[in-house]
Amino acid sequence: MIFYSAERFYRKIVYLLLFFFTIFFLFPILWMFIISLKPVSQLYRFPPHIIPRPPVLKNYVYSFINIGIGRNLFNSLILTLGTLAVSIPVSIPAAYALSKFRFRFQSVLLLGILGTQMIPGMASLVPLFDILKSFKLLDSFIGLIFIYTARTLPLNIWIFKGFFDTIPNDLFEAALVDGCTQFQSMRYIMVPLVLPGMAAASMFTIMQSWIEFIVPLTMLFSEEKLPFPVAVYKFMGSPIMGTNYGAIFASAAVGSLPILMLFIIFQRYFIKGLTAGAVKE
Amino acid sequence: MKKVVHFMVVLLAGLLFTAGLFAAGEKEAKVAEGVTIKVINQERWAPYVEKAVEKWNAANPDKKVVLDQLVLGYPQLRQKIATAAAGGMAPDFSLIDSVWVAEFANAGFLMPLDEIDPTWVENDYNKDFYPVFVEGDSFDGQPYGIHSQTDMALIWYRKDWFSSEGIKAPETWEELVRAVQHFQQPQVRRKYGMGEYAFAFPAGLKAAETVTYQLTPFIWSNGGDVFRNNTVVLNSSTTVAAIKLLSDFVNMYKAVSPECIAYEWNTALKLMGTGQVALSVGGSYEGSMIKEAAGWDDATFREKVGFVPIPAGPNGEQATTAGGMAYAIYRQSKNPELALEILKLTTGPELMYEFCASTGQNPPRISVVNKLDQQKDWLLVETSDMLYNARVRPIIPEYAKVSEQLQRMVENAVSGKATPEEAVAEAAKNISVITGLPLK
Amino acid sequence: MKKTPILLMLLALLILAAFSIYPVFNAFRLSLFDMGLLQREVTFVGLKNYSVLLSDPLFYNSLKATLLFAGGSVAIQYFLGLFLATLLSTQDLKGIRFFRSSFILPYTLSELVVALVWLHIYDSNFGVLNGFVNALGVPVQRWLFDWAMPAVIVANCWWGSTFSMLLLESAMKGIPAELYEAAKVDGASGLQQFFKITLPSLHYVSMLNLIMITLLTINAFGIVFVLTFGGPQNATDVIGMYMWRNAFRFMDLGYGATLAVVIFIFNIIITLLYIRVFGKETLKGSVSK
Repeated sequence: MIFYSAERFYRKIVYLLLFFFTIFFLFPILWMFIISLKPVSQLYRFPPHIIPRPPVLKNYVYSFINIGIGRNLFNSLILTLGTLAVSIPVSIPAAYALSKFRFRFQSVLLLGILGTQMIPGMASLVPLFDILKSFKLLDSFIGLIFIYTARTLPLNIWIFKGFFDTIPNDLFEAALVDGCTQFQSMRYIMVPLVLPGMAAASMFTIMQSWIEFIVPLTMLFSEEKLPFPVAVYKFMGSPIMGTNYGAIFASAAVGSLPILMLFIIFQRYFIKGLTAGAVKE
Repeated sequence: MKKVVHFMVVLLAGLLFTAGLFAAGEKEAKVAEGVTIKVINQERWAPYVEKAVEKWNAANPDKKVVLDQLVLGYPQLRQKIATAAAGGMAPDFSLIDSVWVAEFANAGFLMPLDEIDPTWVENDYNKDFYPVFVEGDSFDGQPYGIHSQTDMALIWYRKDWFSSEGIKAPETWEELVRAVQHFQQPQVRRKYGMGEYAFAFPAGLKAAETVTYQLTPFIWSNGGDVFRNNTVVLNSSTTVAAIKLLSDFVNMYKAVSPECIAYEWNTALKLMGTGQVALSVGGSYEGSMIKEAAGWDDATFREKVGFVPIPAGPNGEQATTAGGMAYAIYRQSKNPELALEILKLTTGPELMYEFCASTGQNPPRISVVNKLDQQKDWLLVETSDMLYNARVRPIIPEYAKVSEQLQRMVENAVSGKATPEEAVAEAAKNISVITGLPLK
Repeated sequence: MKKTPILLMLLALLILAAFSIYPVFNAFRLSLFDMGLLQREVTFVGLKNYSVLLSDPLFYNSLKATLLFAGGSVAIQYFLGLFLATLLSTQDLKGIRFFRSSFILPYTLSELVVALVWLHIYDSNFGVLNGFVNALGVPVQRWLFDWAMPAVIVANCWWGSTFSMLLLESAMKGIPAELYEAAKVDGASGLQQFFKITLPSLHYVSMLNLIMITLLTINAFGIVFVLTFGGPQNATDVIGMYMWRNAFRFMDLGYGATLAVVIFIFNIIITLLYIRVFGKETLKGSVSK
């Protein structure tokens, strides 16, 4: 690789570039925190102050105490865990089948599964509403979990398939010879071997379900069920009352913390597990 | 590194735990019995419905109401109530922008108020609400909406600067042009520390409904209109003159930034509040936001900022739009009578006064306006005078599309993409196609 | 034995069929009707919506805007992702966890929060970007007016590049180190190694990555929605934005569905184009490996 084993001079450039991009990626987030610490009267100054003077916690107090964003975070947690609990167990056997079996229309099927990504999310809102309504799943977490699952399945299947691909078929055949059934061989031999892929798939599933906005907005009808992203937009005002940007950014900042921490903790496994077997040697 | 990880795990667990506590705490509080009333509302409005329910429950212990209120932001409100109503999940009542009432009533989603309680409509609704709302919240001769607050389009101007320059508040287009040109002079702008442009208004699709709301009065003030007697009368020399005036502010007098077609609904008021411009087209609801953006107290604001209705053109009189959010009851409601009882309290004189005074909004009830404090609520008292002459935007089921055509008309003319004549002719033609009404 | 794979996939296929594939068929069906959320009657109109579409200047405008938006976003996201992944793959990099965490941060925010943050940064009167520009002595810019399209592309890439970076970085991890060692012995420079070893090894991942980010960008509209609402003068009126306006502002479901069908067809065409460009074998390889 270009910088893989670069000389000292080039290493300096690498660090310089990394710092530059760190600023590019971090600054808007920092700015979000800064705005969340500013009262309205400080927002419309030019040039804007980088450090709020004085910083106020008013916005955080408002979104937590007055609006109770805590319970929305809790709802998001349930939705995310629910999606995780359905999406991962459903995608593992599917990926296994796509990787270890040969059958007709296999490539068509794989393409088709990835192809569900081609559907514009907005377009499916109305039909999804109808489906949930006919299953009596409107205004329920279960209905949402199915939709989230459908949206996370393609990527998860693809990640797991990459893992199964790297596991030699001999191992799997040996198990069959030993008298394992297909399911047993999957359960006892394959699944433990794809555990690292689990980290990557889970992370993407969590991220996607945590920030989903339009679907819960459309499908939920009770205040106490709203997940966190929908609750944030309560503060988007009409022209009449104005938008409470401080409260939006304060809640958004709090809401992104759990995901960020998860990533920091698990990033090693995550990177390792993302695309095993995707590189053709 | 390990320590950091441990710390984070603990923090994460703590965060989730706290979130759980919040959730559990609220669930316990929810156990109460009575008839459930479902409401879709906005953040600043919601507490007053809660208060109304409390009041009702205190007065009627035998007919208790449990409130199930969904609170959303304005940008999501329209989509939510439409999908809810179309999907058979409509609330008992919801907040609704008064310009949507015709669309939702025409779709059959709303319940006429006189079908629920004709005596109340006759004795209270028709008498105490300003006539403009009784007319504006009705469709096909039946009342559907109950206004919660109202606001009027107007022009804000810097009273202090105007008086030190010896200029009076503009009452006609001519005076407006002269005042704007005066403040646009470089030495005047420098003197007051203004920005590059002296005047501001939003003029593009980005500001959406605000454009229709704030700039339609320019058409009215010259004797023009969009519809008259079921005909599209937009394409007239009076409308063209109004659109030309707006375009001239940008392209001829260079007193409004060409960026105005990309302004948001609140850009002009921020420019006003920070002393960048001497005048801006706005709405009475912006008063408190201008104060906030500027960091002024009420007395300073009163000293520095004045307002006038949209000035009169050569063929017309001063004009203004009345807008506001209304409540409406849905056909799907199982308890429309009870819903109306709650709304009577919510929009009753007592809670309306509390709501309007604390949020700086104009009350749509005559009796509440009379109750306003001349000192404390001075802005509301003064702006309310304009209500008798205010007009509402077209009451038609195809309003959303028509409004976008009006916004496009202004944007095309102001950006120089089309001449005012072309922009008006095209909008009139499109509106005629959309509504199926003949062109004049 | 023969039925086993189907059984294994059954649940996944059922969920996808109900919640991903059925909605597409439904969109096809809706596009043949004149119907809206605020309309009482539903009338079958056949292909009328499509003929309206073909004579709708705003539709052609939205195609142009989408091409610019998606083209710009995808190119930047892919190459920025590749570049960052390369940087992060430097041997014995100190602070790699810090850098990687910083780069992923935008991805933890929802699209609309991202857009609101950038809206504040770009604000021509009070924004911090103009604050910087001003401090550097350059005249302040009207970002969302004169630079609307680049501005939305930058905001979109700020949010989306992370995905490409993660995918490509982890794929680079899978390239055996011996290959590089061997190349080094042969005297290949870093750049040569990159073009001879790294890029070819990323062939398959690159294709998937490009397909995914292209589709995501075409289907997305949240950032445009908040930053410019399609303006000024429809310059950023991407097709997703135009579809939203029809379906949920005007509540015109029939026409909205027609646009959705068109987007869907474009997505298929683009995917097939990518497969064509990268070679059919790339995909085959993934199936029969």
